[in-house]
Amino acid sequence: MAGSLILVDQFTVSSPASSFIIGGGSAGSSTLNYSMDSTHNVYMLNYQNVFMSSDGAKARMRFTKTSDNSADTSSNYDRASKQMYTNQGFFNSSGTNQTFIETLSLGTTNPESSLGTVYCFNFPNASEYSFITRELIQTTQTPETAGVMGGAVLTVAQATNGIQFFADTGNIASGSFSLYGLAK
Amino acid sequence: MVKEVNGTNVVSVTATDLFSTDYQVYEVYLDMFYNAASYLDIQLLDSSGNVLTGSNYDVAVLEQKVYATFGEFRFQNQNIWRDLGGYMTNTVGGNIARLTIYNPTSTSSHTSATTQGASFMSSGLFGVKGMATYKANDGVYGLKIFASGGGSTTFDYLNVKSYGIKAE
Repeated sequence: MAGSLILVDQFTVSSPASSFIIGGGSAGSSTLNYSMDSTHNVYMLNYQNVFMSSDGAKARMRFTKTSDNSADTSSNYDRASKQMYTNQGFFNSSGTNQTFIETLSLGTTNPESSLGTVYCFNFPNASEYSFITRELIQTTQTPETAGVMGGAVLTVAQATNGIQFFADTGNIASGSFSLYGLAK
Repeated sequence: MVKEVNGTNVVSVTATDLFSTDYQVYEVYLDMFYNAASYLDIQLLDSSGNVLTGSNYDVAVLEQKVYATFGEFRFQNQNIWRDLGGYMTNTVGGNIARLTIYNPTSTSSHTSATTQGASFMSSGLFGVKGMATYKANDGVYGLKIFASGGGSTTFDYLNVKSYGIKAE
């Protein structure tokens, strides 16, 4: 149905994990084994209540390759965002040729967590780069709260089919993730 | 769509039952025309429709103006969300906003929102992009929407539509 969101994958972190994959075909962390393919032009990932197992840890992102469902760890991730803090001046954050998509550090107790919405563009298209836009609200272990508004791209012309979240240290303790396809 | 509330010639709209435990994430669309210069202000309502008045409201908004340098609007520990719908003047264009509300009815986590909006000032376009949090676990079921100037100045119209993020 036009204008509808189709739920294609859903995953809740039931025990702390160093990484997991939303979508990603057979490598996916849910039992659905969904691979982001051309069934949808655009996918929307909504997530909430992402806490870490240790203060100051980060829940970074990578994209998974359709070719083998593994995370692309190459130095081809670029990102840019405006970080809007409620307690201090805003600043611009960017990076190029990185091996992951960076984010803010988080904590272990309420409200030191991350939530937000990520839109995925061109993932199934093998001849174009894979892009995301993201609108996140993140609270650090301090705690300081910021909106992270921006985008990122994997500058490799290949098909991608999922998003890996991984902890830079320790584990991701919790979180609920819902991946939707936007109906054509 | 969960609920639509429309006000005409009103100083505020109290929109109850915009949120329920049926969904964790909502999209709220605002469309309005105000008859003076004011920020758009929002307060949250509990399940009984009472305004949550504690000093738990934080915001951070990037004001994107075609006629001036972009501005940063932020505060902590206030009793309103301000500027999520930008700044209003009584120019023809009116203003609009889309809010994404996370965890409104939860009593174990804070309520948060992201926003995008735009108004048309006498000087030109005034856009906003930002976020807000409500740092308490009270459970939020509605919104009170009004103007920072207060008094008896009215909105010609103030329309609110709430949608739950539902998978088919």
